[in-house]
Amino acid sequence: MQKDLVKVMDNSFSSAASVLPPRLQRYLLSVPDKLTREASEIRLRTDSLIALTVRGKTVLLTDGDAPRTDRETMEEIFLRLCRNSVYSHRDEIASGYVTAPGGHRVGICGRAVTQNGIITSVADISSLNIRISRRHAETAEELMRLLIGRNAVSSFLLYGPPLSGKTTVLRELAYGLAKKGVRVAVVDERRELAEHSSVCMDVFSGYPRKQGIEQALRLFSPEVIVFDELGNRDDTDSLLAAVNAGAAVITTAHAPDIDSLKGRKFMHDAVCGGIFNYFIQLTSGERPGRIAAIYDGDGVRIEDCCNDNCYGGDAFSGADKSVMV
Amino acid sequence: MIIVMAGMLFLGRIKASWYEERVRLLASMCTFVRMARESIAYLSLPPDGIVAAASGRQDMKNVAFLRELAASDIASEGFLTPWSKALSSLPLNEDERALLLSWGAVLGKSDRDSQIFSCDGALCALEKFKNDAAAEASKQGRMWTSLGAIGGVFAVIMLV
Repeated sequence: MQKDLVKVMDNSFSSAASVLPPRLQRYLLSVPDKLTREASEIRLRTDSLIALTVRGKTVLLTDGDAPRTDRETMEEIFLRLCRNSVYSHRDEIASGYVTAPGGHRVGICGRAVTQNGIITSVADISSLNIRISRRHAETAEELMRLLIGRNAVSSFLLYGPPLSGKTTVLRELAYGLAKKGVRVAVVDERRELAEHSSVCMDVFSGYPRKQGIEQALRLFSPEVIVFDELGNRDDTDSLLAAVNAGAAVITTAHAPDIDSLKGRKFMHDAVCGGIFNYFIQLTSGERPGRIAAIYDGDGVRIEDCCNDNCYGGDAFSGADKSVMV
Repeated sequence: MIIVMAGMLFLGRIKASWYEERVRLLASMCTFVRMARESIAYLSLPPDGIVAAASGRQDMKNVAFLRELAASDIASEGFLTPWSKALSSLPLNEDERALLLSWGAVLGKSDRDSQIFSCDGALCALEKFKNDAAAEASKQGRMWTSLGAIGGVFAVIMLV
């Protein structure tokens, strides 16, 4: 039965749905392919029907057989997510998520258990949001082709709104670079970017970003450091340390456009300080994970997009030397 | 006549060894729960990781309940079901079985501090059970060995 489930459903969707109990997986088998192929999230709430996020819109699954997820089912799903080991995921749960096998991030909300104002755990889980991680290998290959030179790797920042595939593209880039023989260190704070033991990369799984970057630089002489979600001033300091040590940095940030990116207080130094050679804007909505635009290190737009992998715009010539290192 | 005596002694030893087997079993349980506590406290190992680590120890290699646990899919089905299955065929009394089942029911289900607390409680009770079983084994062992010897002498006398 499990094999049938995998065969019929889209692979990414089935991988994300595998954290659900078999009866819910069987139900999702009956959902039309056009929904499962384009779904970016599976949303579950206590005593509610299952919903999918498809092209940015919420689709409630309301057909006759549609199951409601009661409290016991939510508890069961939560335990399956944690692989029946809640304490092993304590830090993730306190941060509001668990990373499911396959790199799918599952948001958790319920009743916060706090200590001195800090969330230590979540009880009475009321909502779960499974973000389906889909491959964007074409985008990663295109970026590697355009931005990786013979002798050096450029530092660049992938940015976009939520659900634009930043983490997925970053993951593909890290693997792609490592397979080409580049010394890649992945600081995988949320355990989404790499399996904890990877044959071709140095993976700092679960390390806080700052410590992970420091240790990578000090002990593993990386050519490239990859981490997700540039978020605060500490990250900017770590970036500078990496660049000063001669390593390139590839990371992501939340921002709908380049102006929002530049406008953030702590980002200003990172964006305008010459740390990054390129800024890559990714698309969301109907066609997530595509390159919408490329900007140079000064935030000046180079081109709208690159060949047919893009969301609209003119084709970009990959032979253009202005973006090669 | 010597064969008859040896046979009776052997039967006595078999009976005595049942009690000694219980002591070894409870000692293995103590080791397992102690390992679980340390694995949770220092490594946050999940239950299947704890079982794998315990199975790899030299002194735990031949422990039957560990072999059974290692063969099950704890990550998917949880710890309790394979644990109760593994316990079902073991020579445990009612209190020992209830304690181990209640410890197994909690494993993996809550935060680290609760897990450590649960392990500490189970360990304390298990040590007491083990000490009681060791005292019982010593008493029963002497009794059955003596009975075996006496039975052997009696059988020889009857034959003569």
